[in-house]
Amino acid sequence: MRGTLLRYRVMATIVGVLLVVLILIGVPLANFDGSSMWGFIPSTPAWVTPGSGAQQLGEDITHYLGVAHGWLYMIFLVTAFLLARKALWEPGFTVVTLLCGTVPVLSFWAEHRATKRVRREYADELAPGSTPGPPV
Amino acid sequence: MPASRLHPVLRPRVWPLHLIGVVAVAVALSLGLWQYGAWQAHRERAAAEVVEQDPVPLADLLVPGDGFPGADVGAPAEVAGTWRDDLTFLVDDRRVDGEVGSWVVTPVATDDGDGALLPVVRGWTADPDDVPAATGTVTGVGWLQPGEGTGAVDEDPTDRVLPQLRLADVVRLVDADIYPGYLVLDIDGETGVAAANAAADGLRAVTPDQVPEVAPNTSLRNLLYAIEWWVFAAFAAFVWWRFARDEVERARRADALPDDGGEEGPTDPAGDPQESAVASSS
Repeated sequence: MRGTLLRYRVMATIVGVLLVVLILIGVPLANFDGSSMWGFIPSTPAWVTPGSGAQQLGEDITHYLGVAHGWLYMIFLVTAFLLARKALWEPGFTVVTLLCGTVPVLSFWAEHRATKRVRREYADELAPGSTPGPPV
Repeated sequence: MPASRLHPVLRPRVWPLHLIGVVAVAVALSLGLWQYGAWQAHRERAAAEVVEQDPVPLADLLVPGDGFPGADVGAPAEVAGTWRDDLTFLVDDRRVDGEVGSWVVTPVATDDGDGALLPVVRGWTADPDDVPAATGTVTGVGWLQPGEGTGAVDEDPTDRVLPQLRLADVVRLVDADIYPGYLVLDIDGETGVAAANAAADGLRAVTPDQVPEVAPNTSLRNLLYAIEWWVFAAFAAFVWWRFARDEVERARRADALPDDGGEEGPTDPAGDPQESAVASSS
């Protein structure tokens, strides 16, 4: 259980941080130049100058990190699902935990919530050493 | 009991699970298809090398009132007609070698167009206030383009500057019938024919690769995204199946309880030895 939880937490943190960089930094830098965005958002605040270094950085972030994040999110899903199976979560809790991994910032809350539940319900298994510790 | 084998899967308490499962798989599959379609469209366009074809008369490619032939984006077309300098307009925020400037667009009344106007990109200028006049007739070759349509909003509809070359905006500006596309005039002779009387003194040439479109390596990204979505669809289906199976096991134990007197706790999933075995194997 300890390894499963650790793997989940590592992936949740990586994916969560990258998601914040991607959505809250990369996308505004790449797209918020006053023009339209993604074909269906008519206009954006003019925060960056088109063609500037900042916008180029944003383009690079969305381009490379976008694809990389997609694959890392797959790995995150697998680790989260393995934890869900092992900790015997019901479908509702599992789906919420998986979906919240897609929302910037909210992903950290989901990770905290899931970790707290596992620590509470499996305190014995997670206690240091082989001897089961007292319930926390 | 073969009858009860299917039954628990269809019980109302499992319906939300099925609903989420169907939606998740369907959404992921169709998003994958969408990205795959975008990837294919890019490849077809790249494979065609339309830009390198021999020029053909404009009338063979573009007919006023018809749609734009999708396979002919960038195809070289011969044009002959009369400049309508009075209808000249600019498209701003265009880049050449990293410099931001404007396209100079002047509609041409083609010789065989029955009065319809063809928007022709004469060139690029850094100074929108210094645009050479275009008078008389013009003959030459240019690359056909469909109208743009990124949804950019014309912030000032009263001036003669557009944020993009959208044909609906052009119609509003010129107040006449226009062709279902526009032409980027070859003023430097890249196609082998430099336009005669291009009226492009002081303008820099615009080439088809400067026509704004998504970056070329976007196509690979589309393919990667498509695969990602399909992997996700498979994963969603797996999660769905796994929970459905759990539900069946649980229901079957609950059903068996009144008949057999029960072998184990019916509702406590933690007490399921098979589940624990599966989980701990990972």
